[in-house]
Parts: sequence; structure tokens; C-alpha cells
Amino acid sequence: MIPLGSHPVWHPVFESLGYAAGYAVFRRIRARRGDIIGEPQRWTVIAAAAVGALAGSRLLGLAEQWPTVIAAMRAGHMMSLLFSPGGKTIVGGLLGGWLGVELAKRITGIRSRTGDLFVLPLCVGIAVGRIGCFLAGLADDTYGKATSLPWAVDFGDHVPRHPVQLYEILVLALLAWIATRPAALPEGARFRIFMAGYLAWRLAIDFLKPQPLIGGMNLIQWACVAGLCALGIERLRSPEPSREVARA
Amino acid sequence: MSWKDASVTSKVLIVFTVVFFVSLGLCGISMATKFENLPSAVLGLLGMIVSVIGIVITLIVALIHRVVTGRGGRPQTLFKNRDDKE
Repeated sequence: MIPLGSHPVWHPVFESLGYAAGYAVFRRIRARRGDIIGEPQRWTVIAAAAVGALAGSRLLGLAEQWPTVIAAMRAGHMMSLLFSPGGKTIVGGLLGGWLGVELAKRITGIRSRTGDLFVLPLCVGIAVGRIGCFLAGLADDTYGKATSLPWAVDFGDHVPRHPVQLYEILVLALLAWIATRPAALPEGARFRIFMAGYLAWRLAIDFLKPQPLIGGMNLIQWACVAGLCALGIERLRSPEPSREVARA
Repeated sequence: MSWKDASVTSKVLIVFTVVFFVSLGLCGISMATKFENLPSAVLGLLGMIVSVIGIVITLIVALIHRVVTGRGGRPQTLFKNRDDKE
């Protein structure tokens, strides 16, 4: 067992580093590969993604803590809970950001698939942020269940736990490698591969996290199921890209 | 990628989103260090409230502006009849 303890002060530091690293990678990739939409449209997409991610991560983060939310509502402390520092989740951020971008594209008339450029920045940003989650330990709701494996980590409560945050960093590295391989894929396919891969991963790994369950799964897992269904429906409704690749 | 090319709406929304996350971070640091009454917690809370209100107002104004002016090839639904008469 590796003794680590909980150091929550590092969480916001690595979260900020994650945003900065993600943006730096995005700028670099965009400069190198170019973009299928103009700069004003790209900024619109970024703004929509940012606002959608904010709303999604916060709403799902609060919903995930539903026992605390219900207690706060009964006690009349709902406003203080809404503005509390905890209660953000990456799955909510991804789904909210995706929804925000699709809405903004519909309103502004952008028809191109715009997500591919975000794949590597998201992988890098989330991975850096997860280092903060790992260091925060028990103060962050992302720690794993108890295990007897030799690489188990003690976050300060003398319980050997799965370092699920580190597992996620490895999976993100794998997803980044898969989604950025030089292959003839239709526009938007890399983003959908990333989303499907990450949501499937979270659906699986969250069984190793001690969270309140509804119907055998926590709310993040149900959100992953909804996101995977949305990806499947979208794939069925727009099969044209695969035909374009076949012709190419 | 130049910041100058972003529309006013995009700029305002991005700034408010950054303010929200920075404020959240300030609150987080304050809570994590058990100094809930430090100015950072108050500043963070204030930043979060202002940014949420700012985002909501910006979105409403942008939507109204888009409907009224019909930018992006959308029909000018609000004043369509009045325009037709003119």
C-alpha cells in the first residue's frame, strides 16, 4: 500500500493547469492542422462549449450528490449548495459542452463537424486535472473502493484503495493515441470515438467508486448511458460520413 | 488564433466562464485550507454569482439580437410582418 494522504489544495491548481494545457494543445494543433471553420465560428464553438461544460458539469455534479442536495433543500440551504466549490463532474462537462456546441451550431447555421480539434486537448486537460483529483484524495469524490492489490493507495484513512484517477490517466493516453492516429476518418469521427470511449470507460470504472446508487448505478453512469445512446442515435441518423470515406 | 476575431457574445461568454471557474477555484482553495471566512471565499462566491448572472443575461441578449436582426440567415421572426408592410 502506498501512503499518500489527502492534499485538496492541489486540486484547483491542477484543474487550472489542465485548462491551460488543454488550450495550449488546442492552439498548437489548430495551427498545425488548420481548421474547417473560420476563426469567428471557432470562437463561437469554444464559447458554447465552455458555457455548456460549465452548466453540465455543475448540474450533474450536484445531481450526483443527491442525498446532500435533498438535505440542503429541506434545510433551505439550496443557494449555498449551488455555489459551493465541490460538485463538478467531467462527464457532465463533456455532455453539456457537446450539447452547447450543437445548439450554438444550429442557431448560428454552422453545419460542419467541429469536435475533432478538441480530442487531444480534452485528453491532455482531463489527464492533468486528474493528477489534482489523485492528490486531493478523500476530499475529492473521485477516489476508488478498497482493494488488496499491491498498488493500492492510502489517502489518509488507512484503507487501501484503487487509484482510479491514475487508471483514468492511462486510459486517456490510450484514447488520445487511438483518436489521433493517421487514418482516413470522416469529419467528427475522432470526437465521437473519444466520447464513446470515455463514456464507456466511466460507465465501467465508476463501479469501483463508492457513490450513492440509483437502480444499481450512480448518476454519472446513467449520464454515460444516456450519452452513449445519444451517440448511437446520432450515428444511425447520419450514416453519410461512412459512405464518404468509402468513396474516398 | 486571434482573440480579436471572436464576436462580442463569444468574448463575454468566455470571460464569464473563466471568471466562474477561477471563482470556484478560489472557494475551493479557501475550503480546502479550512479558512472559509477568508476574502478569497467571499470573492469566489461573488465571482460565481456575477458570472452566472452575466452568462444568463448575455445569452438572452444574444438570442434576442439574433431574432431581431436575423443574422446568420435566420428569418426576422419578430418584425417580419412589420417589415413586409414597409
